[in-house]
Amino acid sequence: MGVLPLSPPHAPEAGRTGLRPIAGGVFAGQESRGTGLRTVRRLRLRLAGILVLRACLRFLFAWIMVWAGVVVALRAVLLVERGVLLWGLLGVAVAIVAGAFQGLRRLPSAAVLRASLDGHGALGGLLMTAGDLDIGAWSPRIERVPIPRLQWRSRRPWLLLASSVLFLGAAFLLPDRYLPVVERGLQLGSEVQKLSEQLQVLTQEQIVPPDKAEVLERDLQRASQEALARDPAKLLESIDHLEQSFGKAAAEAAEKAIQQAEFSGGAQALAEALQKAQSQMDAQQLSEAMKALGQMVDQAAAESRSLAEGLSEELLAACRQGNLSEAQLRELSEALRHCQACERGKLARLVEARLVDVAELGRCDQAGQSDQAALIDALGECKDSQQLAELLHACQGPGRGGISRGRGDAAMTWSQGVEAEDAAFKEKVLPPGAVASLKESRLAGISTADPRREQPGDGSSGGVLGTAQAGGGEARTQTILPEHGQTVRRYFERGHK
Amino acid sequence: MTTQTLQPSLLSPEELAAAGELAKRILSQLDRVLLGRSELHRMVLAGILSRGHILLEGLPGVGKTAMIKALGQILNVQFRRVQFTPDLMPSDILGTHMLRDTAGGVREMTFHHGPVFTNILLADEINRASPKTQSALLEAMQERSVTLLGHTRMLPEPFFVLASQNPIELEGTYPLPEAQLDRFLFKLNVSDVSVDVLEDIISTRRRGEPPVPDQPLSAEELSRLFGVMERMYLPRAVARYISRLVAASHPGSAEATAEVSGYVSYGASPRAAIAMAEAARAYALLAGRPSVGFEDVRAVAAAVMNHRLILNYKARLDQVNEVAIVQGLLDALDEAGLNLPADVQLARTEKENRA
Repeated sequence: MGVLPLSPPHAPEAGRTGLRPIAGGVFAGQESRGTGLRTVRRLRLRLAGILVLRACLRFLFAWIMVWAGVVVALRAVLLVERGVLLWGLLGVAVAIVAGAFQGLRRLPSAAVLRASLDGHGALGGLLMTAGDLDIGAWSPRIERVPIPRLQWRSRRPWLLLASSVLFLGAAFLLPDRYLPVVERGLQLGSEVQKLSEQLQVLTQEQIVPPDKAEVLERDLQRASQEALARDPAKLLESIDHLEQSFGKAAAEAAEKAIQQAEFSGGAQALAEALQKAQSQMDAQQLSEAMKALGQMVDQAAAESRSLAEGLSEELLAACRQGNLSEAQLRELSEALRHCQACERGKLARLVEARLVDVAELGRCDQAGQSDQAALIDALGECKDSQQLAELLHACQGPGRGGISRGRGDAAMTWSQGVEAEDAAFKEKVLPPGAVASLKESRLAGISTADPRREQPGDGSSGGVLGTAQAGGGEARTQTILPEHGQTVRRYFERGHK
Repeated sequence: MTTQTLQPSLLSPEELAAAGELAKRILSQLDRVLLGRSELHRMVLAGILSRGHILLEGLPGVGKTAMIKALGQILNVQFRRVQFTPDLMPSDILGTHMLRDTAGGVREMTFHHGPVFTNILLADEINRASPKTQSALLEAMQERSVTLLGHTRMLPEPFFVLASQNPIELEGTYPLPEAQLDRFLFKLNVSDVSVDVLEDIISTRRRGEPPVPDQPLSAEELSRLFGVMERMYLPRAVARYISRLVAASHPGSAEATAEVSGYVSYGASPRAAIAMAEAARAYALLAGRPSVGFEDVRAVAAAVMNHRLILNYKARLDQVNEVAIVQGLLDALDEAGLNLPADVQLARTEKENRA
């Protein structure tokens, strides 16, 4: 047996590559190529449906959980209305689009699916080959390709989606009173700032001592930073107390400034009148008038530091001796006018700090105003010391007496009418059902829900007030929210009107 | 103007049927010579059609030599047998130059062809030869040529090496180097036969002598068979499956199984992928199909890969062999690479399951 010189297969290149020339590049047997391929298309469509649905469920679950969480958080923290939160529905559309996109991305190509079908049907590569080239007489072998069952374990994603939808529903439908409200401090910033500014003015005007001002400032800042809504009544009461104290101190200072202005004005008018009426008066009367002026200046200097600093010792001595020259009288007049201006400036700053009413400024402007010509004439017309003494007494202003100042026999001048409201010193007792319940009540909870008014006779439902009988003067459950601060404030302020 | 486009075409059923008849004739004669080895014969023929070399491993007396001899007779090609021994030299296989007197009275070096110049070379007990002699076959197996003294001589076409080795009595043997192992298309295990087969052998054959094949193939028939083999279509998806299988045999690859990562030191080479594709083509031909399917790849995967995987000591300790690892790979890898989510899968219909 010799060695066989076996030749390579016929038409080597064509045989090796399995290629066959076709004229015009037309597919031969196009019809046969479509047989099993329809099955592949059908399967691919079903698989696409499942993959898209699966991805949509996952995205929807994720979005709805996030949405529900955001709904709860926004309702509890920022008190956002439910209607606004419905904008989250847009996210559902986005989730569906994203799910469809991801599902289609995972969809196997037709070639891969064809290969899988080929493997499942044990078609020996014929279906795969049909996708690449004409299989001609082999096409009956793939006429009826069985479609394998598509199995998807869908129970879990459906359950997850259902649970997320329930969560979302609960997040939307949960009544406000059951939402956990994040505790926030009372919005006391503006009040504290206002009080702080007022305190600064009071300190600058030496109405409040610096050490006390420092303590008050510290208390104010602490109240601002640590103010929780757990006991708003007490907190607002303390703020109001401070405000009233400041107002009272300012009012007293304003009153004092007006008096000082009035006193200084009177003295200044007398000084100017003496300056002009010197020639008409005899020496004794002049000396007595100057002594009376000296007493007035002494008293004014004792009350006003600016005046005391503006008068020289020589001038003061001349005042006391009743021996003032014309130049000294002019100098004294200027010092008293300056004193008046200082008092007015002080009052203007208090008004600017809203510590006193602007009407007080008008009172200050009118204080010490007098008819200069009439006073000069009166001084010239004085015949004896008695007339001069009465005139000088009149120059010292209206009665100095009062409830809290002056001697008991001091003359009182009733120049303006007194309104009944200003004189209402009688303490007004608030209705016990309101203040008592507010002060003695305990915090049962904080909620964004509207305050509920319990009808008399309604028993408390539970908690520490479970046995309390409402409507009988006992403690009630009343929830005070930060936004009710103004209401509480108005409630406490009604007594001052 | 008419343009010419090269369009692939499948074998027609008639062409394939004719080739199938030839293959069936070879197989039936092999089955008649060696009883109870149908699957082995099928694999050997697949290896021959793939033009690959085959390493047969089995105990003495199981019929390795008889089968190869019968194959040579059936294919009607030249067959030579070399008994490999430790003192066998390369020149004993390849041939050597000898000084001879010519007719003109001139002395010249003439080449004396060795037994490798044949169509089927039976390298009996190949692992008993020294590495030097084993290596002499490297060029012959890969390039199908022999180079001596700078002169290259082509081997006859077709050329196959069918080697055998004994898994026992390993003293004095030289395990085949990896480079040589990789050149074998298949490593087939020739196992014992069943009692019934043994009974048939004893009952029907005097002194166990097998019948002589009576229907050898002509050169034209063999050539036609190889021609059909060239036109077997390998779909792209199957080629990808083969590539993924081979890639997954490397520890650390993306699709490597736990067994591969734990027991394999080195995976199969690209030559394994080429061999698997060729073997799958041949297997599809024997199955009477014009194209290669996943089942053909699965059928030949173990034979192609088992001698190409280098296992570590842990595998030896855990008594894990290469075949088990390849089987694990076949089970783990999705053929088409659908890459569907874990909760979505394509399942066979009840009708398919019944079938």
